Amino acid sequence: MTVFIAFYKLILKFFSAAHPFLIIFFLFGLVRRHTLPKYHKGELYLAAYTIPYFFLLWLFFLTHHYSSKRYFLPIVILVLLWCGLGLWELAARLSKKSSLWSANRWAGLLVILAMVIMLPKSLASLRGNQDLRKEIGLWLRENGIKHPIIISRDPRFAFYARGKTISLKDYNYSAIIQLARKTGAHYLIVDTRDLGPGLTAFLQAMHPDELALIPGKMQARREEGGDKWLIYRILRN
Amino acid sequence: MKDIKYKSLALIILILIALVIRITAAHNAGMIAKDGIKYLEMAEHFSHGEFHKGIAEDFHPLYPLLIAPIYPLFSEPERAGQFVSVVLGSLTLIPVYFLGLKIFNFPTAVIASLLFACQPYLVRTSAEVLSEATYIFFYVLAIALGWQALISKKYRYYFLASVAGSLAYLTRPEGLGTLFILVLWVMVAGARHFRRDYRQRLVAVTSIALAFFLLAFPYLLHLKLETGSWMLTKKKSLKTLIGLTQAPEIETK
Repeated sequence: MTVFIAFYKLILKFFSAAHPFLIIFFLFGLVRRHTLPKYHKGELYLAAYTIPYFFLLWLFFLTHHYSSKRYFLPIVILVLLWCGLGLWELAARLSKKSSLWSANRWAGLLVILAMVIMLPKSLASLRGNQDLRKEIGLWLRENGIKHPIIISRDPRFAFYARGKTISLKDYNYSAIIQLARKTGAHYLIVDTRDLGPGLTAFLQAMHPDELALIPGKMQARREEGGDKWLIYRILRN
Repeated sequence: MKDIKYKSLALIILILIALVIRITAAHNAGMIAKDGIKYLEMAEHFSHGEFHKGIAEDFHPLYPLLIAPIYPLFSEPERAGQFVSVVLGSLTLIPVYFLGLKIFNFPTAVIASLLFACQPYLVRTSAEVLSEATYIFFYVLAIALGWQALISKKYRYYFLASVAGSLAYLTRPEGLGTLFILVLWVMVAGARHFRRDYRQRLVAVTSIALAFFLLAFPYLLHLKLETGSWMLTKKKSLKTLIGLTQAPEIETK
């Protein structure tokens, strides 16, 4: 990846992290402004925190080919100050063009508009599509063994079940059974996406004396939603 | 006087708006992040007085330390972590408002604070069991106090800015950058503030270093005792992150 493409991609990511609607205000707050035409030295001070950090994110992106929107938060929070100025600037310009409303009124309208646009995203459920893991964990807490030991790749099942996780390294059937015997684990939770084409082989190797698929509520839910978790009770011989 | 009351009232209303939005977001939050489980495990160890177990993780300790005292008060541990994030996430509005007032003007401060109150990623991180909200709070507080120090030239503000920056570092390793930039500003860009008074500059930098030493030294010493070498974090170093070196294998004693 060339440095320019990386820079361009990072700029887009920053726009997305800050919210595209706010970027409009940011530009108004940064260039050719009339309300505060002279740059304050405090702005240079703020830029001293944002620009080097962006540069480091760029180097990180070039090295790892990865960036998260979360990484931009220290920049976004300072950029909001220019966004605030930009919104005020835009309100002042609008009030000049149409004498019906004052700058205060325009600013109020723009702030409400910004809030209406941003709030649904702000208040949306986080990781909503992954909630079934929480549901499975809570179901195990209510209906399963108390403080269970769960073999899984995701520690959240055990967290919600108030149990302990044994990390699942790979899906070698005999290795899993050996691990279960060694650790005294109660459940095995399999992500069928992880297994991929190996799923059939895993299911064929499974012995009904060793693992029992948990039927009932979660099973039905899985069938309804086409979800991807297989929950097994580990049986003791 | 009337002006101060007016601005203070505006600030209180803005904090309440941010708080209500963050409480709603926390209520809507779905599943915990994987790192959140680690933070809560650390907090549980701290709340049981098992300090050595809590601090043995790679994560910096401040966020779980803040959760620890309230950990037993919640039936769901997740809520304790969210509580800290919601409170500090809302209080971040104070330094944002302050910077808006000091560097720009009152309308900018109010509008920026309102935008802060509902900015999606800032709201979401304030509703989660993650260290971001705590880190951002101390990070912006350090920047605001640093600016106050530069304009007032009072050493106590340098000390306080460094306290906030050090707490940011104890939350996440990148918090150290805040202090680095402040020192750089005092030494180079802020030179005009101090004119040619090198003694003043030296005292300012010493105040910053002293606060960092007082707050961060116990953690640095812990890292030294655990790994056998002086280091700023058990997480990946800056050099590794930007690809200058390979990540070394850390052997713990």
